[in-house]
Amino acid sequence: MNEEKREQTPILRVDDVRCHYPQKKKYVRSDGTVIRKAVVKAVDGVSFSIPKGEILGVIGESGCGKSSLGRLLVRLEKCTSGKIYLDGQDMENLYRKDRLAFRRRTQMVFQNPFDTFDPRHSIGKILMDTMKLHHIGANDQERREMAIAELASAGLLPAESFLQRFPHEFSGGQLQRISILRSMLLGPDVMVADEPVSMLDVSIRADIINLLYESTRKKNTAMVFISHDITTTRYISDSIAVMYLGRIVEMGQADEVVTAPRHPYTKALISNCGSIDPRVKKKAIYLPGEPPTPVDIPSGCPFWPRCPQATKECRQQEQQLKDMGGNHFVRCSQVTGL
Amino acid sequence: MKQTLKRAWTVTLGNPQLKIGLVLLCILLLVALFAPVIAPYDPYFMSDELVEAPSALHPLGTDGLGRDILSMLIFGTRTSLVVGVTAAFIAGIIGTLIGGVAGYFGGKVDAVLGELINVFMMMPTFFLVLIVVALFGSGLFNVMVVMGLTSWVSNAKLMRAQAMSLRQRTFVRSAEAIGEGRLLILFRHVVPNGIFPIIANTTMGIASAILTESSLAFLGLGDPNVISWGQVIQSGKSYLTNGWWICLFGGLAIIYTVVTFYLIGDGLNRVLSPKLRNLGKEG
Ligand SMILES: Nc1ncnc2c1ncn2[C@@H]1O[C@H](COP(=O)(O)OP(=O)(O)OP(=O)(O)O)[C@@H](O)[C@H]1O
Ligand code: SF4
Ligand SMILES: [Mg+2]
Repeated sequence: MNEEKREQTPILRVDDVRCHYPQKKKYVRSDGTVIRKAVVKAVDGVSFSIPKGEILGVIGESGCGKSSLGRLLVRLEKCTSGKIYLDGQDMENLYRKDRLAFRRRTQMVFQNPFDTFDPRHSIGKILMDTMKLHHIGANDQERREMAIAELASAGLLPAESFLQRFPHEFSGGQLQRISILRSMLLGPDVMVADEPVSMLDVSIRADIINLLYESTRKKNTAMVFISHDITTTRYISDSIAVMYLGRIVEMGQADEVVTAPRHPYTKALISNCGSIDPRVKKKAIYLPGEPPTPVDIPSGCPFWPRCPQATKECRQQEQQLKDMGGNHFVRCSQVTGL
Repeated sequence: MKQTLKRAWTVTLGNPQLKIGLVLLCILLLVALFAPVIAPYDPYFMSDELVEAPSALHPLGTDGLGRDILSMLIFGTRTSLVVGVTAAFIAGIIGTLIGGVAGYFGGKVDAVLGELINVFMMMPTFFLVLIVVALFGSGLFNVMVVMGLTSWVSNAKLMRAQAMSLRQRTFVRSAEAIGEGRLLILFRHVVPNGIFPIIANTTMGIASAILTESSLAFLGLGDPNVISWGQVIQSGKSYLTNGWWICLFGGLAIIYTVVTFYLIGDGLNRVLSPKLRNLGKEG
């Protein structure tokens, strides 16, 4: 990464963003105490920025708030607090001023391709409705031709015959291709891909990832790639953020985070993923217990109940994301800089 | 599309309620359509044979004014169907709108509309209809509109539940992400995908609207200018001892129609909700 690129305004800057879901029911702790106004802190103070056209991978256990973060980034959910800047401008303002223009700038590919499209609409209608909504193409005839061309470019041939078909007549891979090309039709600045291949056959995952990669590269679209799969994330991403209980605990260049993790949680996460580099045999680090629920986040460093390196201080002292140099950030008292 | 129709046909044949209901409905529609052809007399014509028992001349007898019961019932079919369908249709539209908006928009909108639903749920519909008839007269139009305006609650509750679950579906979220506005999503995705239980419920609503209209007419609050089944029964009220056929056949007509729509509604309920989603999938 050259210095020049870093100095530009990042296309996406996230500043201390939180997403809390108030719960209707009260929450009872295991020791019997009760939290009256329970709140799920799905995202709890996340900050990062992505330079134009780069890819940020987001990894972490199930329930750590990856999808919630993704929804905030495309404003499917409103931030409880904090700000998101798109090319330096406050996203909330952009959204309020012109919703359609804003939607053209951030797009999302969803985890479940089988439910991404209205089951009652044909693929042709779905694509043409999108174009019509965003005033792409002068008339229906033109939009139809564009839809055919798009389908063909994604390898869905013969494209003409696909237009009248309904979503349930497609395979998951085909649907995810259509989802990607529909989003890219709008030429977004930022693409959020929320576990885009986790529901697909292993055999076609690479194809879908490649399509996602190629089409975002072509338009210099930045991407937030959310995944469980550390190997794929490393392969596709420029940098990686590791999330735990709604916060980023470590963030840095993809290779560095995966090959030389510094946060105890990242170490454990990566040691449990066998296929990073078969030549280097590492012992899997066992983490005791389940991740605590985001309703009742432990005080201090939220990882202390499970952390092999936890000290007394960790229970009281809230940790900040510290710069370790070389754009590597770690949130841990035991890891000190440089 | 052709496949869908074909499958709808098989599903219909496989459901006895729906099958019987539809046959009964066809008969009803034919009677309503060809009333002037079928009816032996002008239903308004008052003959000299007062309170005549069923005979070859008057198959179902005559009422206190000498009118032919069979002819009155045949023409009354039209009234009942028009009233029932219109009132249920109004209730269906209002219920779908209010329930859809409440369920899909959620939050404060839902809180306000939820209260409205509760208020109307408590309201004694029949009493309200009585008041309106007393205030604004008993024209058929008034009656239909009032019944529609007061009986949408069950539809609204169904649609609200549907919208709340559809709101979580990926395709609704993806429509939001692609830029569709909330109203567009409501009408393009939420309502069409959640309408099935409302269709079934509206069919049952037709039955209860027909009952309400008959009750009104029975109380003498029906539209006096239009022949209806309730009116037949009302005119037979004072002849119960010496003219049992008046009330009996009027009542049977009402029961027949109510059962018809109930069967169709129940059949639709069983057939539509889980299966129609998969109509194309399996067909
Ligand atoms: N709409 C919501 N209302 C209440 N709680 C929610 C809502 N959406 C998510 N949550 C909760 O927020 C937490 C984070 O959820 P999220 O879906 O963001 O996790 P995730 O990292 O994407 O998990 P996964 O890997 O399973 O997809 C979970 O505990 C979840 O139960
Ligand atoms: S701050 Fe303490 S508990 Fe938290 S990760 Fe570091 S060592 Fe573990
Ligand atoms: Mg998720």
